[in-house]
Amino acid sequence: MKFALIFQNDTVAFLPELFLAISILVVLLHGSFLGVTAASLHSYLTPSMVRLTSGTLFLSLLLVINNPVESQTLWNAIFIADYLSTWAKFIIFIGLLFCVSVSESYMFSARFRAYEFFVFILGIALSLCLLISSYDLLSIYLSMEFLSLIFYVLAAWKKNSYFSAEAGLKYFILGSVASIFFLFGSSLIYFSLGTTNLASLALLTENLSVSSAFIYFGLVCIVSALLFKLGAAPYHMWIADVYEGAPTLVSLIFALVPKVAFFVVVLRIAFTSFWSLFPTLWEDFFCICGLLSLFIGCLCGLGETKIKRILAFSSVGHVGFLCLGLASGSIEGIQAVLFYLVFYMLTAAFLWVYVLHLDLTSNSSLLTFADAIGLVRSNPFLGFGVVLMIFSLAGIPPFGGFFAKLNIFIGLVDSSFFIVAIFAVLTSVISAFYYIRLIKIFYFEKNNNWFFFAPLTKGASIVLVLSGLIIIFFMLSPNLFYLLSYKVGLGLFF
Amino acid sequence: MGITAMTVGGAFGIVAKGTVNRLMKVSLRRAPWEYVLGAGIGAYVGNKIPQWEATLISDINEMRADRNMPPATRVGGYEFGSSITDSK
Repeated sequence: MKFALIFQNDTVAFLPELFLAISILVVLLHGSFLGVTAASLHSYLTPSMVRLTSGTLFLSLLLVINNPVESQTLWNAIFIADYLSTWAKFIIFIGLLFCVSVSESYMFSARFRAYEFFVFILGIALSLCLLISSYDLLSIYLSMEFLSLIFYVLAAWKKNSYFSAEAGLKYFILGSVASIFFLFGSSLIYFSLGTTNLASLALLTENLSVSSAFIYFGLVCIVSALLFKLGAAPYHMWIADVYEGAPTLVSLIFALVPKVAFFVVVLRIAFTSFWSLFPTLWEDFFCICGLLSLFIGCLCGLGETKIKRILAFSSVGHVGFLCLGLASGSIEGIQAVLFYLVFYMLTAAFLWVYVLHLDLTSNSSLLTFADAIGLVRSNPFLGFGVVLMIFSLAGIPPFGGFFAKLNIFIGLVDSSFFIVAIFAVLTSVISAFYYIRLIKIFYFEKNNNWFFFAPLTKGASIVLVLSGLIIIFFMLSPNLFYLLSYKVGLGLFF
Repeated sequence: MGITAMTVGGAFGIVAKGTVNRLMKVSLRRAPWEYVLGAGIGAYVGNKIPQWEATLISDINEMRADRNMPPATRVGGYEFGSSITDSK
């Protein structure tokens, strides 16, 4: 009885994760019992799995919002529940709900006849929640591997496609290298400081005057592995091939969901545990990665003709902006990063849902610009929304992306990174070229093919409208988000 | 403030439903009860936003007091002066 009471608070704070873990088993059993006949797979099983998964994610979201524990370490300081984790879990559940909402029609059209996809979605939710709450290098590693194993399977999901198999294999091999880097870095940290717990590491390094080279090298290895998962340069080599080769629904998940979780881990390591190394290590490291990502994101996107690859390189560029936000090392920098993450996620959700719809209506498996012309002309209202979102990605005022980039620039200028800020503006201008070229092709290129209208599903329409309206709301009245991000940053910073 | 926020929120909800129908290229009159639902959710969120902001400001000032910092009067581009903090 006493033993049970010791972990009572931990269990309460951990309810969303426990609920998700049990739900995975329930959903798996539900799918196994109902999916015994092939005939029931589409007519009954897929819609019921969509509803069950959406319901589970929504209930987990409610558990996260109503969690009574505000800030506390859990399970012998392996995990933590704080403002940052609550905020990040909220964003992730919204992202996953978006993905599930658009999955039914895609699965029907792409002939995906497996209910396991929804089990994987819940697995992604659980692994991301664990990753966000992790407060120890080993729990971070295990959560990261849990997530990666699901992603490897999903990337190679389309069994009859060489591109999908290539994407899965490439992601698996390069992801394994990243895991090796993470483990090697963790072992160096353990060798130097004798612990892997982030809170203990923070105490040990608080007044560290002379650091050993092992600590620096270990940290570079650890954060390199995390930046690999984010697709930041120079660890970006997998991203275009995986986004292009994986089924579009899976690319949508890759683009939307995991970035928030990995940035939370980077924030915890750089700003909580090893804050004392900020001037000597993190400042330069994030600056170099940020500038390289911006450079590669803007230059590699210029020659691309395939929409998914353009979005992949665009993602590299945006991760560059996020790295520069971290490099500024101030609470305003963290605010800017959180602001940018939300704006990017919403904009990416809109554009990827558009690409998903394009994939369903186009005959081509490699979506090129030519395939995009028809959809914009057959559904001009959707086309107009896509144009606005592309303007937002390019950072053209008065769209949301402009304010997100502006916050990053303000953070950089406040921290006296003037040359870095000028370089970031220049790369933003160059990348605006390929975004605007997309719009030019959509509206001004001649195409002699027939255009057929394909109706959008209700789920996809709701996702498009919600992402668009939330962006408009935060453009008009960003106060709520400024306050929320300040509270999260303040909780992390000191 | 409450009525304005509720009206704006309700308008957002109605616009959202109308846009969903427009994107699906169906009649704007389809599923009219969803307009009511959208307006209701929008009005509720609009009504709650000032309360959420006030709670966040008091939380931030509490956290700053724990860290021996003066109460905040400005966060990012949002300047809320001393009126809200004084009323707490």
